[in-house]
Amino acid sequence: MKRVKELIEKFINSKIAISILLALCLLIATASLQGCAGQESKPDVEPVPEKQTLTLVLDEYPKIDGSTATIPLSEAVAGKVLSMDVEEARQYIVHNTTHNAYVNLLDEKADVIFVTSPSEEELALAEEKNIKMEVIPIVNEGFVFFINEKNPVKSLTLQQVRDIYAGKITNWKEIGGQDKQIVAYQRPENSGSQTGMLDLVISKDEIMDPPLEQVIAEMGQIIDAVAVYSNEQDAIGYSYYYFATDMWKNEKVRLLAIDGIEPNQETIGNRTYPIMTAYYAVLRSDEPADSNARKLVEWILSEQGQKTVEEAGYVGLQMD
Amino acid sequence: MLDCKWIKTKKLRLILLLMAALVMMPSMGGCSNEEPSSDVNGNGQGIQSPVEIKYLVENPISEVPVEEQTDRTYYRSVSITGLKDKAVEQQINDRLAESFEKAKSSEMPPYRGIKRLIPEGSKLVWDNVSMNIYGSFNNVLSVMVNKYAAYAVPDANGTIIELNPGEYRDVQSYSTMDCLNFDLNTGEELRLEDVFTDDTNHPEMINKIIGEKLLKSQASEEGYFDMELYNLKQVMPFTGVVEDQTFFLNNFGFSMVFDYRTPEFETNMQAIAVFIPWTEFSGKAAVTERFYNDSEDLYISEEPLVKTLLPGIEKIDRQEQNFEKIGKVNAYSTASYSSAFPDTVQSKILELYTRDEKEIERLNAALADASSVYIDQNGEAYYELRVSGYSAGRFISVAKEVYAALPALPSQDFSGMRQWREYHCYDKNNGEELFFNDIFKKDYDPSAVIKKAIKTSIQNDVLSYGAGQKLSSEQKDGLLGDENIDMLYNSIQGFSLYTSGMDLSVPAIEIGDSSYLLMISIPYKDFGCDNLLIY
Repeated sequence: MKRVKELIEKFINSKIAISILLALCLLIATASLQGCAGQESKPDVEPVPEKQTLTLVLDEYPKIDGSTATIPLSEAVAGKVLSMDVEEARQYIVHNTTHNAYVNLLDEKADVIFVTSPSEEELALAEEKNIKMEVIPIVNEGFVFFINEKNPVKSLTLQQVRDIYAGKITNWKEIGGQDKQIVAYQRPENSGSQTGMLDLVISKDEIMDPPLEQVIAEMGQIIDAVAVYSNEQDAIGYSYYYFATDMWKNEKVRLLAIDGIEPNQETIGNRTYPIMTAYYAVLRSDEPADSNARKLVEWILSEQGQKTVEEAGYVGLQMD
Repeated sequence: MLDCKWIKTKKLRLILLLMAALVMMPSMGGCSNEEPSSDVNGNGQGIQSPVEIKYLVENPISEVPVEEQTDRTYYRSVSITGLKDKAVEQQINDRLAESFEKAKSSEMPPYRGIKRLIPEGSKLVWDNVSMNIYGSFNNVLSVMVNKYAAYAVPDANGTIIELNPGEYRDVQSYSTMDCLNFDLNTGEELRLEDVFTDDTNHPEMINKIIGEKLLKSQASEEGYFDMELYNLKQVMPFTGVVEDQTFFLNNFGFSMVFDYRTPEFETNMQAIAVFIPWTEFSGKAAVTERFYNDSEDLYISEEPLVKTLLPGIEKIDRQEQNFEKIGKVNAYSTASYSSAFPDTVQSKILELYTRDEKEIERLNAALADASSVYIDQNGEAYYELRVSGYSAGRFISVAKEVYAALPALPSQDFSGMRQWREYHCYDKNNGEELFFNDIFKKDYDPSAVIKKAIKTSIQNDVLSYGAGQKLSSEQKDGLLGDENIDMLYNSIQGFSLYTSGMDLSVPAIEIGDSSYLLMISIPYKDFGCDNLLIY
């Protein structure tokens, strides 16, 4: 017992003990500042909210419609302008898909719609009703191509992409890749992505038939359908940039640079990426100049509005 | 050399060292308040993959429903009985009751667009809250509370248009699914991680499977391209399921629910379940190992255990189709099966996919004297051959069915339909065909059960309608008599195995010019699952 006491005393008096004490004090201080996992540190001072440059109440809010892909934009904008959080604003937003939105606009059931560009059918419908539409870009969008990350090809020219989908380039080795036949996946006819491909990259006459796969149809019979992208090393597919951050795509998929320009927030924002489109706010041209619908579109184009749509995951228009 | 006078006293240093040690100990344990996953088999090592679900054992509990209905409401709640541990049973029933009442009294959920589609002034015209047991197996209980509410909504002028009493012109509805999943060993509710082995990154696995389903259904595109998920549309990139996302379990697999709580999807104000079969989890679903133990009996019931096989996941990706007009006979042939089936099975399917030319000749001969006017009015003869393959557990069953019919001729009372069916069953592992002695234990005689099923089928499939109803009492007694039943039993042409039972094929019953197939389906529990070698 005496020996134990001597050892303890010796330890307490040692420089090692002093060092340990100092280190533990530092550790405790650090831990108490950080707290346990999951606890956020609160700022000392609440940030001053930015002054809202457009505020409307529900009854004043224009009748909105639009594409499915612009729903988050619509919700974010409504939240800011109506001074609600997005979860509440969401409960007032209904988008009836692109074509129905155009129909509703032309039938005056909607004041402004957030959509992709009008198709020939929609333009014809407007002409039939003798209505002029104002098609105003509100966010940029890129049309992107993706491959398996193990495919060594990193960039293609736009012409090479066209030639792949025209069936003129059939092997990756022709364009700097491995000796594998290219499987050039497409999207179903009349889908947004297929329409985009035909509008932006290659015409309907030039594009080759898509790869097919057998699927079970409604009545249980097996039919041929456009094959769904399968991320093998021989594959190439396409989509709009907005959906390119899907988890499944992120994992083992690479977005191709086109003409040396990689698709990202910057190149799509400043429109240097070669295959560009946009999402649009569309109004009837007879919409009064001082209407809330016009005010809303103006607000979306403002710095505050563009910040809002970028926070919602879109690529804003880069203002000069 | 350090010179810290302020901690030079021995006592002070000792006290500080001890305090520091006390502070350090909890932080070494971490701040997590998660309980470790349970391990009912108690080996202390947790559940590691791969694990195999060879079969599921039905929980011998009873569901006690309580229903109330008015002309505008339907409510169905359930409680359970049958556990030995009454405290656990009560705990579960209390939770079920709480969940049911919450669903009944809940306000409109915050679905996208709901306040615009069902604005103030709308009238609730139907309220349905229905609680049902979706899965009850391996000591796991999965209960769903479905709510469906419909509102008559006002028009642009604020008026609700009633077309007839209780019938409204403009109606909008929504639905919700709340799911409760219990471990019957403890009465505790399951977390998502409890469904899988401890070494599984279950979010990653589920996200990959669901991501592939979304891709296949073109969920990011407007429009409908797929039967399975046609009504689940992405409005923003899918970033993965969340840990507390609603899910439920049943014998066939696992489903995740997408609704107002998953706003990256548009579901049109409905709760949508995305189903994943157990077999797709490739040895990582722990619903047997974590909850079921052969040596423990949680239940009051002394009835034998009822076991079910899991359905196969082989994609039916091969199909043969043919149509040919042969004289006055329209002959259709189809075969569907999976390229993943063993070669012996695929060969058998193609061998069975052979038209019976003699039957075609018979049909043409029967119509030889029919005038063209008659054919125009009544149609031509019909011949159909169907061959299909499907799997359950480690078995693949192949069915061949033939239907051959004449148009109803004025001189005949019957349509002249003739039918055949034969089954073949194979072991998936080696492709070998199986027979009765491969599926029943040696000391078990299934004949009594099978003969009873044959008799029941004759009653239901032959004597209850059509030509069978017109038979005399003597003819009916003959069909149901022991001699005929024994003959049919001894003429069994094969069997197919599905998840909960087997189908048998016997010769069709001939009545006049027509033949009638017997649908002999026998649940495994009728034989007693312990008498079978299939698990």
